[in-house]
Amino acid sequence: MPLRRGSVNFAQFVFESSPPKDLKRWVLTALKKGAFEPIDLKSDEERAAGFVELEFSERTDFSVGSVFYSEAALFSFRVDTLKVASAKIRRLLLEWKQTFENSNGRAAGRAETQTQKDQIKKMLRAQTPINTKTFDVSLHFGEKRVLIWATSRTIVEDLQVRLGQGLGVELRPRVPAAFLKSAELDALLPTPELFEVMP
Amino acid sequence: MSPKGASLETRFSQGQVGADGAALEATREATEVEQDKAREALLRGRTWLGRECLTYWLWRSESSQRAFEFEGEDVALIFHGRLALKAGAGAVTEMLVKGVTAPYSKLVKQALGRGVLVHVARLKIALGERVYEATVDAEFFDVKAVKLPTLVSEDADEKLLERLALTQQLARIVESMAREFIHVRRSKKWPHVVGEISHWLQLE
Repeated sequence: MPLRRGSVNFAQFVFESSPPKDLKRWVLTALKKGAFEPIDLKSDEERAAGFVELEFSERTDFSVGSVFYSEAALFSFRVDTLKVASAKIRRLLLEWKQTFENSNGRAAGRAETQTQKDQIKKMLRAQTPINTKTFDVSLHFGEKRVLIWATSRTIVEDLQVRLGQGLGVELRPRVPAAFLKSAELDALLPTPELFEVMP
Repeated sequence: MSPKGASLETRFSQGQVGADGAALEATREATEVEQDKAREALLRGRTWLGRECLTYWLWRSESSQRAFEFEGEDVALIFHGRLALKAGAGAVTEMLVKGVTAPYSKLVKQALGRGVLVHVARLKIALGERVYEATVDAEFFDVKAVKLPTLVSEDADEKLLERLALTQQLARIVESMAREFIHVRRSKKWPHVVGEISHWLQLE
């Protein structure tokens, strides 16, 4: 929970459009819409991601008291992954094929192998622990600024899209190019004297 | 001499292969791939503008010009420690220097003078008594490994709000310094500033 302790790393974004008057409802609706839902162990899903409360990564109630702190909304983005190692599936399948051949006097057919593979996969999914990571987000209303407290660009970009869609705003990164109008930016070229490569 | 040997000799004399046969071609291919990657990294998301910005900050941090200003207060900026430099072309596409005063070394200035600009920098930013440390990169302007000023709050919730306020202030300072660069970059002063930067690079 980097918002409370630990190393601070963030990517910053702003949104230009004006938020609705009812800020709390606006944010809570977006969070509930994109709330975290766990991986369905019966499915083939390998990743589940969504918003959770800052203090409790299991909770998606998003009460006003759990989200709003002073002039900001604070919450987390939870990512669960469940990946079964394919090498393990292959090894178990090979063992089964040999046992099958020894006891039946023939090699397993394609359909039999596929059925067994699915069963092994299901069994390993049930045994494999889910890897959970959370990344904090702070939304500062006064400045229309969003800080994503993460270092991974995959997470930052995923959050930029999800949060932007949920709130109905475009989150623009605060890179130098963002302070220029698009026409000005298009006309701007690298400074030759700075990028000149001398022998 | 076998026809194959003669052919190799001919190709060698024409500079198509090295002494070991295909070596030159392989090296050329690797060089082309590297140059393409360096150029792509420079252009992607207008990273070149970010590199110009960090290089401008480095010059400003050592120039006699007035420090950056943030909400009416002076901001002192010092580059220290690790510095990564990158170029969009040339034999050297990437350099990493370490050392407390490495960013202001002759070696770094020589590299900057050859188009190898600042890509990632470790900064010390002082606003009054508050001193922040952070690493900023030219592509995304993500702020990493931040060292915040010492917190004064003791209560857990107050600590959270103070940490949040300090981080928010750092975000605004970084933004304001980037805005200042853009203000100069789009103005008629820019060629003059580039001249001063070039002069600074040749000083040592």
